[in-house]
Amino acid sequence: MSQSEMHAPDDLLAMQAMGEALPDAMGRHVSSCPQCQAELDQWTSLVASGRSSSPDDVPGDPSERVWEAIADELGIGVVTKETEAETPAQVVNISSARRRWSTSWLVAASVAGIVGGALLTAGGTALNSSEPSAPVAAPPVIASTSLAALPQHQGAGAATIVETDEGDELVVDVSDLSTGDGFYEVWLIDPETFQMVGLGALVDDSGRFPIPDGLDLSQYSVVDVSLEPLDGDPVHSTDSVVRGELSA
Amino acid sequence: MTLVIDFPLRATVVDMPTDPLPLDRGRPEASRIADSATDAVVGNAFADGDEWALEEAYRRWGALIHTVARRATGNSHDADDVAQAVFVSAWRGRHRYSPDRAALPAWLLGITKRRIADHWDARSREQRRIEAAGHASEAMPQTEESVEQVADRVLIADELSRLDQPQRQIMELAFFDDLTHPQIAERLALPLGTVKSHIRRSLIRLRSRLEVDGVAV
Repeated sequence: MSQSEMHAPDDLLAMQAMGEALPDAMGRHVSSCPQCQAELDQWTSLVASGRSSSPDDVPGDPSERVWEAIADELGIGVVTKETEAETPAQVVNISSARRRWSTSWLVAASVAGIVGGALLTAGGTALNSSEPSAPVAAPPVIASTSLAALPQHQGAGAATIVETDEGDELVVDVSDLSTGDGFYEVWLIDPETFQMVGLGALVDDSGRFPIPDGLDLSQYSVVDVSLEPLDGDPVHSTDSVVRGELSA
Repeated sequence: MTLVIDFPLRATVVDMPTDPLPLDRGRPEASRIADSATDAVVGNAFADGDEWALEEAYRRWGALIHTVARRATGNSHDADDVAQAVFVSAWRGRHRYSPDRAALPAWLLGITKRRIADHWDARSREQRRIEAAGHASEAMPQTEESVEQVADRVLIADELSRLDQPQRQIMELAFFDDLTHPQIAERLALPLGTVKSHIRRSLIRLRSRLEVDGVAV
């Protein structure tokens, strides 16, 4: 195949859009090739937008004031005196071995208090859009972690423990998990004894799992999503996809 | 931090990114995990109604939306109103957002374009009332197509600001200052070939980032 019959490489078309001439043979090909023309048009449009932009088009930082207005209108995530007072208290019953949890939460809560209007967003229950927009405190996040892929696997995610009226829930959001035969299951694991509690199947990119009453989250602190074969065996397959350790 | 979990059947050693993140302007836990979430995780959580994802979406794309609105409406106060309306209606309409079809910023930008169009509709109604009262009319409102162009400009400027040096400075001279490649080479005392190869790489990178956000330019 001679060069004139080959499609022009992307970077040469990009440079032509910037005003750099193509080599002659390539130029002749591009002028008669609809595919290269379409590609060149896209680059030309990008360059035209770029050349008409100015430093004033660069976004700065998002405005706190606008965020407060949004949160206020939706009635979410506003730290009230009550949540500030309650939140540290509910962490107190976590065993002293993991006292660092309550300490770090106290720091977070007091910083939020100093900021005054600081906003606390929690992985709370979904707000119905028809609900009145009176400010309501979101359920506090007790602990959270990001979920990272294990070797041989891909995917990412986040897990939070939130307090709801029905008790604590684990909220898991994931994306791009490795696929395989079977289903995903969510576990809480004690990293010291390797005991674990299966919370249920994760059928979508996100799920909510009630935490059994009395389960000590300071002990069962690792959130694990495994790939489980459909073999009827309720034991962990040992094929973990993403994992993270909760901290408050 | 390294955590060793010895499963009953097989040993597994895991390096986990669990170093505590610094407290950020008093924003508590939910935001700190959100820092490490990918855009896709934020999008899924948003669609699922997890509130941390709304704040995180605002942190990541609020300034982008606000800047598009400011450049389209021409003033910061109107842009505040548009940005607020965008995030409020996006949250209330999150059941209509499908993470499989569009990245969250692209979906938010679509709403932004409609809110700006609403803004101009309201303006032109106001203007017709003024004209009907016998006053001279002001400048015509922008068309929806130019909102599209504004959004493209802001997206590109946003991506430019994320380039490393010296690519960023080179692209700013090329785009913002409309300098030719030899002029840029002279200004920065760099060989012309070096300038061109930085530009070539930056353009490829710019376009792939714009595609990642699901926003076709």
